[in-house]
Amino acid sequence: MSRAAGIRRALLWVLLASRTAQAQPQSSPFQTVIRAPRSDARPGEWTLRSEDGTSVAGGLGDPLRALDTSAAVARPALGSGAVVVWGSAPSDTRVVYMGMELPWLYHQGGLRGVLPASMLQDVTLSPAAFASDYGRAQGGLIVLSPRPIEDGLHGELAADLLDVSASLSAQLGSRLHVAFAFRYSYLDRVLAALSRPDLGDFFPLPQYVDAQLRLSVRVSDQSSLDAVVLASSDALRRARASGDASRAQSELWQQSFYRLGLAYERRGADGSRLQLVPWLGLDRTRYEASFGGTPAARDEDALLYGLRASYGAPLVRGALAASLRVGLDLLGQRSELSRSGSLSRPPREGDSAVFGQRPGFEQSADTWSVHSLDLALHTSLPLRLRRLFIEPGLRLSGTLIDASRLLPHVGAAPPIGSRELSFALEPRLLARLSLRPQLALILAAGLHHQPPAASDLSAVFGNPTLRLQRAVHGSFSFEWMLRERLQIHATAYLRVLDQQVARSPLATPALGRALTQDGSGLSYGGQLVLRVPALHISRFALAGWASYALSRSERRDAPQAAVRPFAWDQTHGLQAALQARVFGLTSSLRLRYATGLVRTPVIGSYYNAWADQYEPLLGPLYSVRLPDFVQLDLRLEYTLRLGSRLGLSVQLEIQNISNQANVEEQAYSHDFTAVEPIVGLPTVAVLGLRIAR
Amino acid sequence: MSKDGTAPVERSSAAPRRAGSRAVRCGLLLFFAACVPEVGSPPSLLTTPRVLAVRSEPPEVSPGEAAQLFLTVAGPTNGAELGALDGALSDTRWAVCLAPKPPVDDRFTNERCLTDESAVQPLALRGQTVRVPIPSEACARFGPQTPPSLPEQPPGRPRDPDETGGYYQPVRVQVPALGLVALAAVRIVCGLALTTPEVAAEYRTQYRRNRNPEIAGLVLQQDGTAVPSWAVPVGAMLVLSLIPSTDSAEPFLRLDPATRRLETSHEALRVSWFAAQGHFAFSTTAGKDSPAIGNTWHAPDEPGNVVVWAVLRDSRGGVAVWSQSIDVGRGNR
Repeated sequence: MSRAAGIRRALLWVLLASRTAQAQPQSSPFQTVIRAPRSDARPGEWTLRSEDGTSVAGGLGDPLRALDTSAAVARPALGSGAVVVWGSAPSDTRVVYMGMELPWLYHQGGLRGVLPASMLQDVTLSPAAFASDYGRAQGGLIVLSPRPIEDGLHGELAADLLDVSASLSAQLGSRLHVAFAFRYSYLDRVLAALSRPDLGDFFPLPQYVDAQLRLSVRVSDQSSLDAVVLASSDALRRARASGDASRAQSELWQQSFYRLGLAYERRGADGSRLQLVPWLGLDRTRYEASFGGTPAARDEDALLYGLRASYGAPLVRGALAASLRVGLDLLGQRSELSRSGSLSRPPREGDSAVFGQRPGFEQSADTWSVHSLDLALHTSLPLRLRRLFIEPGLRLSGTLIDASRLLPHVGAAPPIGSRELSFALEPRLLARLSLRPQLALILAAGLHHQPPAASDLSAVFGNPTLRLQRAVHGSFSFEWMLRERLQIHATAYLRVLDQQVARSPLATPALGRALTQDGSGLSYGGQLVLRVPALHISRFALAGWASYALSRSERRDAPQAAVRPFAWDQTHGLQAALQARVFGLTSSLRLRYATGLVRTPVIGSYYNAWADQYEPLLGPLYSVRLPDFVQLDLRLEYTLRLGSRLGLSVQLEIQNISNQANVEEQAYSHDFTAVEPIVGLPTVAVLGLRIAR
Repeated sequence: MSKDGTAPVERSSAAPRRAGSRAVRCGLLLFFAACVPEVGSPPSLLTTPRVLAVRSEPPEVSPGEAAQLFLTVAGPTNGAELGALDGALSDTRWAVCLAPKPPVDDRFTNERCLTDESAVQPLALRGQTVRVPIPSEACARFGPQTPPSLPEQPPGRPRDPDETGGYYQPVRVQVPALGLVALAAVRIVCGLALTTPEVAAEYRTQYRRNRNPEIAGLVLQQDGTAVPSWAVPVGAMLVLSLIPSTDSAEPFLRLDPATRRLETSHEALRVSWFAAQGHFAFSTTAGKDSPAIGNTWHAPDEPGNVVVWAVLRDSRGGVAVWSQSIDVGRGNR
């Protein structure tokens, strides 16, 4: 087989049905993007081009929102924005953009990602056992790739019910490119104007803004230097003033992050590649709440600094091809935190409570600081021998955690801090065997560690002696291209967790040990993904995909505790999508089905005469489920040409077109004797416009 | 959607629920909470006999002392049923809870105190009023005193106080004939945890134990004019004003958990309202700057006698109960 034929055949492996870019001449009525599978792609790995992600029904034109089209990602609860990858907690999955770690992927409410689509090239999700150059995550890894800045002058202005966004890129001279993008939300004001001014009293409406500035310098033919500044800010407020003293509630969530980074890359003629990414960051989160006069607050300011450096070069070429990659990954974080209120606010996974239940009456407070420094050296040795590709990797990390206070304030005793250095050796392995050009088997495994969150290192609310959490990942995948018309991916996975941070089950925990590291967990399951390449009939094109995921995720909070389901456990997840394009109209239809989320049953109640409220008697933790979720979404987009350079796109997204009454939560009567479902979105239409050059 | 949820919106006669308002809300692009239904009747509506309050006299005692507890139960009863209610209350059973709860449990007590007889110490006496001896270990179980730690082990975590710096001994109340289970609490004097000897001594000498609030009266007004309780028109919109005694909201000393310093706070007062007929605007109202604590009550559209209950609570666990019989419709005949 000739090399060209091989490449052509290989290119048919992965197909991402797409629509055309809005402002570019269309050579085809339905552009089909075909990609060769990367030899270092892990089982279950999922990559989406930004342009493709904007056309996914249900994603509101945001490629980051389209992340939940991956079979590895569980359907999040309405408005949560949680990314649950193969049964791992949202905080266990890392988000990386240009080598910099981002604290969250979505703005509050989960409506939008924190990066605009115009600045993104790809979104890649590695659900487990990712390569040794990344760490500090015992769940998955999301790598966001920046879009190269094009030559010439380009711009885009878009608006819909949620927000307005704009981007501008320009070429300044032969070596310098600059791009700027921002987004500003007004959903809260639009809905308040359409409905009632006190709408925010009933429904928390987000306010967000994000911006990005990038400079790209082509230093030479082999090297480039990029500089990037990111800013993202959110506020979510719900203040329900009420004459009913027991029901007056207010909550305020604020979060923001900033990043400043440089990315240098040099590619040698010998195939070598050097990358350097130093960066600085600032994360801020603030939470204030009052439930019937019971206050709670938490503040965290974190200064981050990081450095990623890697060098790779081929060692051997020929029938046996080998290369070596070595690198360094450093992340430091200096956090100042304060918190007051009850231990249960904000809640943790595994807490036993039901919707609407008031927080505990106990009050406490703490102020503490944490300085953590994680330095990792990593290496990998990709080897290719005929149809076999093997990439063994190794990551050696040292994590220093310095907490300001080992115990709570005790009289006038001076604070005694805690400092501990932990080492972790993390072997990683990827093996890919191509039995035929159309058939491949992939195996990946790895040991992963994750430092505890600074917010868990309080001597009052947490445990300053917490150390690394650990996970063993294993996954196996089967890829088959059937007559170049159907692509099948079948994947099985296993994730074993131990040394997990969990609540102390004791009625009287030890001082400074409200959290323990006695938790463990297990996630396992499989997924099947089918993709059909585009069928072209005259000016009509049609493509589609379907996926099914079967998963089980469970936790044990203490060695003697019973195994329980994970809070985001979803047994079944089914998705199917069709995308079509005819005469310039792109349409996308997506069907989603998911098992209902777990809940803790109420088996009785009693009256608390001290607080004048009923309190529930609870059954086994997470032992019942909400009804299953079904939703059908439709997205339409039509692009008009305005002259030779401008394009005007009109988008209409209709979510839940069957008006399915999906149960998102259960609301109880004041005495917990009656329960009614809280249903999710009715049929919703969102109209958007975008003009681009 | 809020992590803690939005409580159901109570039906209010003062602010009548607009027809179709829920549909309007659901028709909007609400990505966060969708539709929150109203579930069940409002807490202020007595549809079955219920525990309204348990008053402790005194409301704050030291371990080893005793407190007199009085149970108030009310329901949609007429004269003939009141006798049966009194009979049921004579068999009221009391038990002192012995099991502390994990600090992360949002509820007031360990669930075992409601379901496990080995977790409580039953009292021999039964009835609507009993004298409850507070165990001498109460501050170790429910207060800041923790058991001695084992060698090489850190000491136990003291209980966190409530917002007023208080600790409470839970007491279980059961009325078997009515199927009622409730939990009462007696505030216990335990001192402070994890503070300096000087601050602890200052607190010990300057802290004043709580006293129950008292109610001076209940005033009914319609359109700003006082209305006698025996002449309330059917369907009338009344403002009920509960007037606490002037010394009900007491100052008290507390340790600020953030600054670790003693400060003087004032009790907040709130009133829980109950009636078997008519509708209250709110189930609970709080006193602000006014000496009276008011609520709006929509009298029933049918004539009859309605008993309105008001339970006044201070923020340190003190309780006072007031009931007012209101004749609706008779004054118009």
